Amino acid sequence: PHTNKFAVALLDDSVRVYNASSTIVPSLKHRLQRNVASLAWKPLSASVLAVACQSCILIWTLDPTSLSTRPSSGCAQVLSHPGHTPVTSLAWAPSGGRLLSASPVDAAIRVWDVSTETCVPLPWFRGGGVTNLLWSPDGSKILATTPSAVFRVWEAQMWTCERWPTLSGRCQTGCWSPDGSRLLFTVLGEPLIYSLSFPERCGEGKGCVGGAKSATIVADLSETTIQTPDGEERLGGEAHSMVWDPSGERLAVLMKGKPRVQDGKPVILLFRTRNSPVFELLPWAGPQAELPTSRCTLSMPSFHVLAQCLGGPRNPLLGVEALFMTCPSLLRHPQPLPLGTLSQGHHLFCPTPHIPTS
Amino acid sequence: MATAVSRPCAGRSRDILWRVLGWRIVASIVWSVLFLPICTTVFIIFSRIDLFHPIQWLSDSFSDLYSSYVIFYFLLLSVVIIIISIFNVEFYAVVPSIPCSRLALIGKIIHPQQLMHSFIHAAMGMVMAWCAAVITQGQYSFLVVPCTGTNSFGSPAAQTCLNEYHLFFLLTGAFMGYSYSLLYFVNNMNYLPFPIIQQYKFLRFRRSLLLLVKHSCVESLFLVRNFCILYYFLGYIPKAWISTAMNLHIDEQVHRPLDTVSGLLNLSLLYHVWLCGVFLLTTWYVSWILFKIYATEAHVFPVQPPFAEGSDECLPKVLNSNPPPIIKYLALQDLMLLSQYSPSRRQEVFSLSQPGGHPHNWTAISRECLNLLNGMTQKLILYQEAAATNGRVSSSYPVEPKKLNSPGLSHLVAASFTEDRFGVVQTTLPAILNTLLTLQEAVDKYFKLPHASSKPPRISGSLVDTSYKTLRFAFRASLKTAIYRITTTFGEHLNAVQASAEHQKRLQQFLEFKE
Repeated sequence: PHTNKFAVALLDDSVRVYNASSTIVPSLKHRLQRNVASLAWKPLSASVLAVACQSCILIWTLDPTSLSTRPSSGCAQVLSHPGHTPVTSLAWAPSGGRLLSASPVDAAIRVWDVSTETCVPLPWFRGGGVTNLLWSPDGSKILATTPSAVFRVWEAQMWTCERWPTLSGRCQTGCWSPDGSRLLFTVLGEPLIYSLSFPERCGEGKGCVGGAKSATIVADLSETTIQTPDGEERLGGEAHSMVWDPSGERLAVLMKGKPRVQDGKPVILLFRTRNSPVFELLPWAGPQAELPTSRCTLSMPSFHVLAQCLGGPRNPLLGVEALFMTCPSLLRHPQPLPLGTLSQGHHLFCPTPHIPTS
Repeated sequence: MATAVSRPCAGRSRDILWRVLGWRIVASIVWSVLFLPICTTVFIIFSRIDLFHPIQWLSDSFSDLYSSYVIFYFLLLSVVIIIISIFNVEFYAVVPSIPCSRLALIGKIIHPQQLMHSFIHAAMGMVMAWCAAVITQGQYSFLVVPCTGTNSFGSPAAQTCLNEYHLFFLLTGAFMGYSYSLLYFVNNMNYLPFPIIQQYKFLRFRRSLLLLVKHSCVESLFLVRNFCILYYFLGYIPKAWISTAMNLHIDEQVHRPLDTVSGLLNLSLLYHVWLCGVFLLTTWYVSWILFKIYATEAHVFPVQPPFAEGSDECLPKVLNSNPPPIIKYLALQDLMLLSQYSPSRRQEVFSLSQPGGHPHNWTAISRECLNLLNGMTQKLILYQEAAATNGRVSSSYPVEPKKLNSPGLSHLVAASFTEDRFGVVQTTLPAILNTLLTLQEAVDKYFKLPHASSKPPRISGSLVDTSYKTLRFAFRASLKTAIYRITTTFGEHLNAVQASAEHQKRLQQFLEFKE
């Protein structure tokens, strides 16, 4: 999260770490590293990577100044607990102290203290395991989505949770505002973005999630037709994943590819947001808007597109330049492989695709 | 032990210990005693097990529960639990003592205090086994029974015989009590680890209960097996002693003597003895777990005393005086929680006093934290020098307070970047950075020593917390994270801070994420 590095997991059960400032690509292999499902860089550290494998979690401590391309297995710590396999989702606390892990087989989320290799299970509920964990940037709340039409929001002080049944499907994706007071999420099968606010502040020593009574719809992404200089364009559909910029000013939504929309190519929609004093979600206004200067970091699960927005006035029409990197040779994994957060990386391919401003 | 060393302070520290921990100790004892009826009920139900007549089994169990003598046994067992809990309280430690050789381990076991602990536990075990035997009824209830064998030479008056089963029960109870005490010290069960995450007490208890029961069942099995072996070889000694002391005969015709293989293979006896062991271990482990949960719960120390009388308990004072170790740990834990989760209390820490404008709170807190960290650095340097001269050096590794300390301090410093209105932190920033970097160097050198970087193998799923063995790794990781937290928050502004050239270089490496 602080440097220009990213990690890619490959089908041959190895993980490669690419660095913007060096050409060395360390390849991480371990006999327990099989069927990697998730990768997460530890915040507040130079290069500690958590890898979720079939039977355990591996914590790789890489020396940032080392020149080796095959770090030894001694750099990896093994965290395992009987019954908590396969591990599919990982989330580091923003303060760097704790790691949460979830498995579809084990209904309990486990909180790990990595250095003592001990874990504590959170109270579990029936109804399937946990598919995805998302920590709010201020470290106070965690979103835990399940395969059923329910998601839970945990608070990180006394570890109690609130249960949110959705109307029609499981929670597809979510993202937190930087101060942890608002959660935007989408539901599978609906082209809408919902917002859930958490207005209450808890008393000292008590744990409360403090969610509002119900979620409100803030955006409708249904298909529409817009007029552009090149002709008619169709846009809209369901969101695949969403990411909120760390400064809280921009929201990027990756739309699922649909045949009638943009010839099935995935598309990113950008919105301008403001969280205080009142929440606002506006489409990107184009060159008249303030040109973005901050970096927008995204974590996008997608198996054939890795997208990254650079802040910088490169394209006067759009105000932003997007970079697409396709790596068909690396992955043929049937499921999307979530990766850790990307920072500014290099340019590997530079087409400038059309980003619609709606 | 828990109390402070010097005489004049002993009274005051005992005072604050009682004020902070008093109700916790009492609450945990009360809950252990309240848990007892549930345990006893389950014990009664399982001891009368009769799978062929289930209705009769259950109705017999419940009718036994309502009989008057059970109340007497509840009271007796409550007294036992209270005594065991008092021992938990007196013997706890917040610093694990890790003996580094077998000789030291043996020395620890035969220490007079530990001997007394073992003796009392053996006695309590015997009392509980007696209660269990009497509740079980049947042939195990009484030590002395009338003889049933005919003796053509004997007088027509009935003679009294020794009921060996009952004796076996009592001795098993004593053996289990003694083993519990032994394992308590060997496994450092008196060590109170602070929890990874804060949770409500009931949730913590519920989570440990199942593991505890499973562990008791398995341990009881091992203890029964060991005791059977011991009785086989040495069982004749107590038998002979009791029968001559109480002038009893040993009735050979009713049942076989127990110190033979055929005698010991009595399944009913083994089952009941095992069940008694599970009962004993479960109730004792429950009282131990409840004490641990209550003692390590976070306590809120006020940062500013609301009244003049309450000033003894406020956070800066507690940290600076020399309180009993557990109070200090609770204070440091509170500091860590307030630095992460309570903006209002952080404001109190950063505030200036009225009148005068001195940042008393911050100065006191930061001074104490820096003292602890500097003390740690000194110890590490001494340790390295000693190790360099003569191989292994034994010492207990008081890492726990420092581990709580560095995240707390660094969170406060990071939060002060946005929240500190008067700039109280900035004057101490050079000192803090200096201390943290020096300590980090010392820790890195320590880990280069041959035996320091080896990790003990981890046993997952056990009841006893062995995390104390890997505390030093946790300490190193949290120290690094603490330094990173400060560097990422302050960023390039850190270059303006006064520091020696070597420290400037290290800071630069942290800023570039090369560490």
